[in-house]
Amino acid sequence: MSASAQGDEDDDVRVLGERLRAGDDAALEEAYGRWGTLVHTIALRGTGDARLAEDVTQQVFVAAWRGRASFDPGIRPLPAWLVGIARHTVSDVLAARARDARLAARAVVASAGSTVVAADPTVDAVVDAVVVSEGLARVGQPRRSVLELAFFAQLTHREIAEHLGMPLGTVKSHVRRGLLELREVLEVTDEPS
Amino acid sequence: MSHPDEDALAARALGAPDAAVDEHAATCVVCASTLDGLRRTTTALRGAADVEQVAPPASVWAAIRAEVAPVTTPVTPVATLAPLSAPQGGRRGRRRWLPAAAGFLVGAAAATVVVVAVTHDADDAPSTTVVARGTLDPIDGSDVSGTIEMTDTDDVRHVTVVLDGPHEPGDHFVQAWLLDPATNGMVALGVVDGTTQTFAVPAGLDLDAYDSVDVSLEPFDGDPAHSATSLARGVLAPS
Repeated sequence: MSASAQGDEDDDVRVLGERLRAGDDAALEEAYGRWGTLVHTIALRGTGDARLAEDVTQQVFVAAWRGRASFDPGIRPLPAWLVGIARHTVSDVLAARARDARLAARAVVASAGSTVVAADPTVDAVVDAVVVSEGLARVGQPRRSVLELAFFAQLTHREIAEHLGMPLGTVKSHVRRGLLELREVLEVTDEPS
Repeated sequence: MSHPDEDALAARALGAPDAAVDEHAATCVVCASTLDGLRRTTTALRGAADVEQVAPPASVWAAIRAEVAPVTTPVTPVATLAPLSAPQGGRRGRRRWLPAAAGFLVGAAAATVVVVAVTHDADDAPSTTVVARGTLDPIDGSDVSGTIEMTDTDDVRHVTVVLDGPHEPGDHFVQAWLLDPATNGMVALGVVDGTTQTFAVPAGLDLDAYDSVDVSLEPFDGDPAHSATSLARGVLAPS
């Protein structure tokens, strides 16, 4: 994304955050429209259970609405705050599930009607993977393709250069710049220290 | 070596050996942190390979909206309810708890969550009525005026004072009182902060006698008694 387009998007997000904080319920619906999938994907990969993921998603947006007075758009952007709530909610669900499993003294069984997806061991790794995946989708071309070939297809820089008909130096530049961009996407979702 | 540029750090995070960067990062907290962040990003990207973004079903938004919508009937989990036999302490309230069979499921849709609800009958819903009104007229050359109102909410009385403008010279504060004009007796209501303030009226006060409001200027002398400098007064006439 060009610098000016990124600036416009940042302003967009900031205004939405301010509207939510001010109690505009249309802002909640917009936030859900933009980041409901992100939150739901974190919940699904974090819990491995479709029905729990739906509950977690609901909890996150209800908590965001009820806690809107504590959201400070100046500290971090709205999606980062939502990811933080999702992170905590998933951790709580996993902790509760582990407690239940210990109390029941039996393996956790997928409830009827739920689809089980392999759950990742740590919530932080899940959040990082989902957030970076969403961030990657917003990276412009050809950088996005270069990154996908490098990290998903695991091609070497030389192989990518040949595959895309691009100078090796350009490939390396795209990978490095992409990494720097996406680092910021990840770090903004960390708890403010 | 001065700080390596970002590109060099990214290259290092991607695995290209660089002794100079390693040496620098060993003693530079900022660059070490940047390098860690970049390595974390490479791990995240590899983990992202099989991430498929899955949208939630439409029912999730419907559930969110239902949950944040304003509720008109209070629904309380049974653990926080006062025992049915206890009186509504202190207040002359008209709430009636449902008799014996107080617990019931709220709607068939709540099958997975059991909530015990105690609802109030329609005529017991808290409502506020204005029972008396008046104007505040300036006293002894002051320029303070305003309005006064007494309200009743389930037999609890409040007085609201509205001044036409803030009157707070720094070394004094403004106080409101209920006044019995026949005896000049005063019962303090409290400090008027700004132009509007609402006060609880002490239960048991004879409001037929104390039917007026006095607004005074009080010094910070620690003496709770009326300063004898009244700014405005008015009678609360039943409405």
